[in-house]
Amino acid sequence: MVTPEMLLSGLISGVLTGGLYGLLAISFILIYKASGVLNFAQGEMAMVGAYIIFFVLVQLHLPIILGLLVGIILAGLFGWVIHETALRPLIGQPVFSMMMMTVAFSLFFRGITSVIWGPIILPAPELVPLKTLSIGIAKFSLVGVVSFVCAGLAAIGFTIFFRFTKRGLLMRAVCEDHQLAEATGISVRSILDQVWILAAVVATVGGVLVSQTTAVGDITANVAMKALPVALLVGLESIPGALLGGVIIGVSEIVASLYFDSFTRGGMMETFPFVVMLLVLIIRPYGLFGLKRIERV
Amino acid sequence: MQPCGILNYKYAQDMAIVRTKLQWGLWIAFLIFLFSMPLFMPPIWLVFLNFIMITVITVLGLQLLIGFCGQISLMHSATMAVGAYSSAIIARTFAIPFWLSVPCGMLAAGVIGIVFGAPSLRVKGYYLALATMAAHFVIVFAIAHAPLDITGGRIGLDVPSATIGGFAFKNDLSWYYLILPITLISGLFAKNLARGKIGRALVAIRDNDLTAEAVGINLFSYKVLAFFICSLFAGLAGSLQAYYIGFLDIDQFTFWNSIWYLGMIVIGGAGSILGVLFGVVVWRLLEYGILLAGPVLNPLLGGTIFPLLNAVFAILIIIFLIFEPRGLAHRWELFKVSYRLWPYSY
Repeated sequence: MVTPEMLLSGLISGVLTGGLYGLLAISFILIYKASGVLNFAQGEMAMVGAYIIFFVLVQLHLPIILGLLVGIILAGLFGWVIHETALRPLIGQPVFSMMMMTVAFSLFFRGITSVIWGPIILPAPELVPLKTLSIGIAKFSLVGVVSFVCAGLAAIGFTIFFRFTKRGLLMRAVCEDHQLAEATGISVRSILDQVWILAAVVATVGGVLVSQTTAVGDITANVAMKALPVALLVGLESIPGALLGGVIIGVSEIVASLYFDSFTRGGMMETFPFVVMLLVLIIRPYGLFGLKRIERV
Repeated sequence: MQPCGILNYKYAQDMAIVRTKLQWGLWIAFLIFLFSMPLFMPPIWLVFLNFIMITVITVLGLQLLIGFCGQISLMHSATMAVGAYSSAIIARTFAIPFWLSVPCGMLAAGVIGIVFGAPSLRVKGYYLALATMAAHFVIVFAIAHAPLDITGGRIGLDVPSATIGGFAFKNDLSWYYLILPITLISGLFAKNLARGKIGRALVAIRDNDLTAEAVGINLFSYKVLAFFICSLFAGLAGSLQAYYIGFLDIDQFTFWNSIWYLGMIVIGGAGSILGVLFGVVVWRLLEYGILLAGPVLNPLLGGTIFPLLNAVFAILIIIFLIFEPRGLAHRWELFKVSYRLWPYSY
């Protein structure tokens, strides 16, 4: 039986994890908006980010601030390398090739991280203390609050960035039309590089926050995969919407697991976001805030 | 390109699969080779061959859907699971013989294909890939979490042994001679479908769906038909695999399997029936090679042979996408052209 207390704490943790999903979805939307590539390897990028932070903090024993800085730089480099080596040669190829490329990358990252760091999950370096806060009867974790704040900051920051800065405007121009942007003198290549670097950094932050509550390993990627349903729910366009979409997914999966798990012997938590994704695609393919493109087929 | 002196005067000649006497000879030699393979192969290899052929059947369906119709499906292994589970459950509960339960499984898989393929009219490209990916997780969840007495959940399900007219398929040799004709017939069926009216319609949809609709091809019915046929193949392969292994477990049908099938298409070449054979054989031989080298490699890598396999396959896909987007089938065509013109090639 679901007590009101369980429901309340479930709702709060759903909102907080939802913020995390939103953060990962922002990184996803950045890439899709600018380059038109739907990155199936998003969860794995977050996982690689978590591994990088693990590497610099635990294996190299760098102090936290320096380590995070080095980790972020490495993550940015990683995003740049993916774009330059794999996705640039595919410009003009059909959707299937692009999709296969990102899918192949997700396979590759899962494989290569296991080969390098071993097939077991690793304990994440503790960046945020594992504390439980409580206000009244509501209990929530500090990690959740931190990740929600990060997601909120990222959403606000990117909204301002895209609306008011020159570079953000250039990125929007590139995402509108590559050829037109090139014709007005924008270097599409360097803008896309910057977008991939940004997205890899955001994914790394998300992956590190995910690993704080779980561990570093393919489990990180599995959680981060939920950014896909979130991004699709909001329609792959809106950055502030990603936060809302994340909260919707986070809350609905908790509620679904509270009420349906007894009928299905568990597992609702992992599957419900994909049920939502399927429904969104069938009923409203352009999502909640996406632009409805007119097609005549 | 045809060899010198071979000219087509009729449409039938233009469309013929086997055009020259040399081709006839080679095909017959190839068939004899296939049927006599168990004579000179160590018996353990028959297991590999059987799995290769089952994979060929399932990838044929995916090739018709992706290579010819241009619709992406990431739920192929879930469709296989549906076929496998339905044939096994039907055979268990109603004591239906093998030859009848496999078509039932195919039909069930086909229905699932129609249900999840029907949205393909509205959602395209990436969105279709995402929809089928979500469908994969939903189907697998439904099978793993259905009531225990139906699908066996995470515990698994015993499949009755396959018998036709009192003859029980028990050892790998008898299975080889069962699966080989089925594979050949499936290949011929796919080839004929691809060069007939349906195949032309599917190619038209792949190349430009607006134009296809303008010349009178009913987009919806052909897309759904493509999904249906693709799922029939998957159901056939899934049922055969279930009977062959004799045990069903949802972990035999992972999301990564679907991706491997796509990888085989990339390596073999999208839009070519022969490419399916190339892709599957190259992929599986590499897989078995790495697994055979496992005892040597494992101590070096700390027991991470399976992740290594994934990484190697991923690199293979990436290399093919960048350097040979048309796959091994294209290489094969180039090779044929060069030896047919030899020694006067320019």
